[in-house]
Amino acid sequence: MGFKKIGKKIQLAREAKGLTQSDLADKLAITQAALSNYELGKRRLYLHQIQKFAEILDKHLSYFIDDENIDRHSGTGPNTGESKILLSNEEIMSRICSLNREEIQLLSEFLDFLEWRKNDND
Amino acid sequence: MIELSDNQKKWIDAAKKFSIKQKTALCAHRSDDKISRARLLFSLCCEERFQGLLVPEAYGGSSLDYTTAGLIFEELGYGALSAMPSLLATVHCMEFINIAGTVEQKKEIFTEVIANSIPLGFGLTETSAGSDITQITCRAEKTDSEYILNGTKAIVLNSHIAGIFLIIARLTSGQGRAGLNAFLVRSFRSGIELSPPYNGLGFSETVIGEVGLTDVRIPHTSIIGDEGSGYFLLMETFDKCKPFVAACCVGAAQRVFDIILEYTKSREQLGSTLFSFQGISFKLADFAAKIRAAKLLYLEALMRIDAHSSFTMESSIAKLYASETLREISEFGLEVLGYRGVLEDNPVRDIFEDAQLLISIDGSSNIQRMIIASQL
Repeated sequence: MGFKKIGKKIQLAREAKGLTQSDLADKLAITQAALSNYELGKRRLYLHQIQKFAEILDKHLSYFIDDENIDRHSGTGPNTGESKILLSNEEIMSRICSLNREEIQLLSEFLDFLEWRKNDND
Repeated sequence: MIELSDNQKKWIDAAKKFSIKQKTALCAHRSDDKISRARLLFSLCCEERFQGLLVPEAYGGSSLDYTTAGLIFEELGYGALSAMPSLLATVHCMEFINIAGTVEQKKEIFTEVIANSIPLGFGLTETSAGSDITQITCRAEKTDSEYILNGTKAIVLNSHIAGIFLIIARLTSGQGRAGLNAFLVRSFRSGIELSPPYNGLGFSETVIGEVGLTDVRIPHTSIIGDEGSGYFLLMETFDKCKPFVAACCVGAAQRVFDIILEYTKSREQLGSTLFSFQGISFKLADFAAKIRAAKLLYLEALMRIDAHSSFTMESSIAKLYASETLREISEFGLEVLGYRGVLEDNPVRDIFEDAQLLISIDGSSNIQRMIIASQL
């Protein structure tokens, strides 16, 4: 239903701001358990709640509600050459988090390979 | 035990009286066309101020809490189910505006609906976009001075009597969910075309039809909420209004229950009343429990909304359970009543037909199950 993606974006924005779940929950005057449910996409979020997240996490509303994994307001977008090559840390994290256990294993092996190749070239 | 306040008793009493009043009025206008009867029914609702139950007093409404409004809808579901689809459509639109409208929009629209008894039409569904509203293709193009709307809305309740439509359209700049927005569109706008009303099963006193929009030009002030917010506002509107649909279903289910009970206790076959057969009485015992449970579920959802607690799952549970219970009991009612049940003007027949459609308002049962599952 799309709320898992928004929850993940909340988690990434919170972590980027260096806040724990308890810190953010306090700022929102909700319980840490409730925030955890939002981040896991287990609770539907309404617009006024997303607006509050955006305000506290210094993000534009569109960062949360746009379907794409881009930050329109960071200056990079899907149609720029730069964005196709340079992904933001948040997007990388978001994409990793959407992988299953087997895919993470494959990714890990690929990273090992890249590391090996880099060391070999050095 | 649910203790009603004096104010709640007063409103429920008004709903009871309205049920008799609307029945008499519809009988008197039996030969009128469907559109005239629908207008009449809505204006009778407005005389009792049912269209503005939740609207703040500052805008001419009754400023009731959600729970009290639910109790009123239950009573209306019992005695005046045929008036409900039109009223619910207007209430949905009003709730949407209440959530995200500007002060000016609220003043303008609420005044029209409450003071001038103007019904609203909810233009959401399209031929290829029902449960999956992200498939909506109706487009809104933003120019320097206005929005230009193009598309066709299907299954619009109040299509031919609405003074204002709430149209969900996709802004050309937005994609997927984020492209959806809500616009207020006056029905007299150039470019609006109404197809002849549908003539289907159920909701017999409600005008339902297609609304075509061709280059309909509306000012920038017509958008409700920020650009890109339509999807989220729709979800909140549905989640807040589902318990009202559930309440109507509970009322209607109770009506069918009372009819079956009275009939089975008075009709004798094989030397005893129908009720004395466990095949009947046990079934009614089950329905007595289900209707009670359905009532508690919708009340829980509404009390949570009033208390600003989470209510997503509770609303879906209430709607799912109440609408399915209504469908079951109305089917059982027809089975028990036999041919009497399908005769014209038999309330069980009308409720049975309406029950099939109430299932799909605010999302079908499977959509409710998807929402509930997502919250587990």
